[in-house]
Amino acid sequence: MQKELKSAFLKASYIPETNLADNIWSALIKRNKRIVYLKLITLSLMGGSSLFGLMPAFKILMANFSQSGFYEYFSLAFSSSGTLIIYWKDFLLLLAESLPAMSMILFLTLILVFLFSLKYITRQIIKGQLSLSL
Amino acid sequence: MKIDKITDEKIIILYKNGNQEVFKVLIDRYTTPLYNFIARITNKNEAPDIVQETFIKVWKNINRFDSSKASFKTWIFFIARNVATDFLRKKSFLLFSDIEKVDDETIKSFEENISDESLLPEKILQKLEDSEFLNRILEKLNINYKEILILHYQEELTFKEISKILNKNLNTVKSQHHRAILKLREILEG
Repeated sequence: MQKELKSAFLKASYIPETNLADNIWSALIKRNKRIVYLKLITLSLMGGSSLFGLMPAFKILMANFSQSGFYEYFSLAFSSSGTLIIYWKDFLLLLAESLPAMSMILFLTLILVFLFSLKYITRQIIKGQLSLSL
Repeated sequence: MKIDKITDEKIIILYKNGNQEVFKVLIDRYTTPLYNFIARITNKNEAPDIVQETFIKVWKNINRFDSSKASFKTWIFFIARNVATDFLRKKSFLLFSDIEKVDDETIKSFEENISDESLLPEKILQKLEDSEFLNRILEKLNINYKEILILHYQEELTFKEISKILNKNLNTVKSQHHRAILKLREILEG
């Protein structure tokens, strides 16, 4: 019975139009291109903006470093290294506290966004726009 | 080695290693079986779109495919079935209860203790050789039965593989297959 049923079912299979597989392949490529272009545009804009914002962010960072007293604390490392060896834990804590955290985060984020955009754009240029992978 | 003869799993490895063109081989290989399966559980007009949606899902999730859990064929049919079910639900062709209905009857006692071999006598089997007739009969079957018959007899999948695709217990699948054959007989004799 198994054999007869299999043969009957196989004979009754529905066959799709001949170009369905090609149409699906074209649709996939088209869809991928759209996603890649969209990502390229978004990341180019993000990369451009981050590059544009790097200089002001760097200036803010430098200004905050001077205001926070970080340089003064840091110079202690060279002037009174003997005391520093004894109180190294407190010194490190003080140094960390004096770091301008917010402007550092802003600056590093901008750098990361720029590098990520650059990496993606370069990869797409090397691979070509027709690449199927996202 | 000709690419057509390479297994699905090796094709996926090639794809993951950067040979993106090999994805076309998978599309060529599975378009017809998927179309046939989907056209049976939905309809011929919507089937091409659902097949396409299935391949898009496969392409997006190909990195999640784990050959140690199931074969690619099982995996792609599992996705196709989900896409088709979602489509039917959206179009309100299918209620949740339709899918569960047969599950509830499941493994009752084996009233189906009769062996599969004696379920469809030679005379009935001969009737099924007419493809048009078989297609008309299949139209009358419950979607749960249809799925099992198509996957087992057309795609030559084992009950274990079918149970993974349909996300059902193995015994449930066996039981439903048995009932499907009984129903087929009932329609043919009726």
